[in-house]
Amino acid sequence: MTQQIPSGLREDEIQIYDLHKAFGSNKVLKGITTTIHRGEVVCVIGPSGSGKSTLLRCVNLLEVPTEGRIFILNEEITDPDADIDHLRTKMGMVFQSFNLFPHLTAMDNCTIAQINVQKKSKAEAEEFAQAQLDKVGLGTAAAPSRCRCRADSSSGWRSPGRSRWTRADALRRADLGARPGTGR
Amino acid sequence: MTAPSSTAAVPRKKFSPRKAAQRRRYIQYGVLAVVVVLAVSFADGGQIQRVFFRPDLIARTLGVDLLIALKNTLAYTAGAFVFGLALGTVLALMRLSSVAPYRWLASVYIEFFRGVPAIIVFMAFGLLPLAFPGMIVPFDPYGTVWVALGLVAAAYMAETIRAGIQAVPKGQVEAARSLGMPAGMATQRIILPQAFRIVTPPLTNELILLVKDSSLVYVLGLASSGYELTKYGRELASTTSNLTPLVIAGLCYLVITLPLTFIVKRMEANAKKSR
Repeated sequence: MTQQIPSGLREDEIQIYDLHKAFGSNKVLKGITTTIHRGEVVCVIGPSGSGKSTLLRCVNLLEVPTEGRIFILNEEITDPDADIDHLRTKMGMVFQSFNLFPHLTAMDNCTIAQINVQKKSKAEAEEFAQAQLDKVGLGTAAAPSRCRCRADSSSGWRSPGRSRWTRADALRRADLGARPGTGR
Repeated sequence: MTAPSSTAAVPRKKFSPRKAAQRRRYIQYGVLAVVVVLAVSFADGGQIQRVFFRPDLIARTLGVDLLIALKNTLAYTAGAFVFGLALGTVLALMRLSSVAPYRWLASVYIEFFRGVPAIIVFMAFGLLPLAFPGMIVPFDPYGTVWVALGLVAAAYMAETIRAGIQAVPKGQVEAARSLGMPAGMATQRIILPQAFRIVTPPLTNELILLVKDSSLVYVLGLASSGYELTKYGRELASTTSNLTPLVIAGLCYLVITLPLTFIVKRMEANAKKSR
């Protein structure tokens, strides 16, 4: 797919190219073109309903753009032939409303994708998840001995950012993170 | 009661709302007491015992055959539930499929089996061996019962499960997909486990209904070793021209269904708490 990349695109970028998204007659995104480089922290701000979340959801193809092309690390996600599931593993997305899996433990929330999507071993996945959890000060919440702690049972787990980032990070592809602001 | 009295000399005392409510309650107690007294005085205790609770027939009913019948009822119900649950899950997923013909097929199936009396389905199954001579259903007689009862149960369970799937927040699929899970895996690992957690109480209610519906399989014309509680009680009741065996059979159903009802209540209370 490399030949499809417009000239000047670096391999470690998200490149959005003339992105349009309309819901029926309601045009939300009207020709957005931007590049986000590795390591960059970008804030998209605007009043509610102005399309911030829609933009992020388009990058992950949770919304299919009406028009335009999006490149993730060298590959076009808007290509009809793109392996979207694979590309998604390269992005960590943190949702506005948490969306932790309530039927899984905190640890399982962090390992389910590693084990089932990336085909890591359970031990490997848990080790990585534990490291990430320690980083955000939630190491004890997911200690294997206390693994029954449900992801939604303690308020700490629901506090903005931490666990959600952790699950996204735990995918290991934390190099690209998209996070709709919650205002919380 | 509150209509103004014509003898207006003393204004009629109005009851306060609380007093009025209390009076209404007394009246209701009074009516109840009268009914109970009438029932007791007209009822013939001895007669009731002779017809519904004859000791020698109680003893005769409580035999090995009752245990076999109880075992059959449980086996029929359990097998049909498993079969119905599997088929119901498939139907529910079909109803939510993006492939239109699957949706139509599932809808037709569900509406058909929910709209047709279960006993007609069982009668049809009872005639199948006549219609197709030489047809053998495995695990006779259980196989036939499981399929017949399960086919009907699946239609009801499919709707319950579909509601459960739709009750799982949409964000859960999106979260799963954004982690790179393919649609099938997201359904299997994220959606269905949560959906089944949601529908466990209503599914247990389906199970209770199924226990009772298993009494309908007598129309399949089973051999005596395949009798379930109702058929067993009825046979014995007609041989003895007495209702005692039926009463015992009925109580056996309560032994199965009451604990289930209790469990459903517990689960619902827990679900409310955790919400």
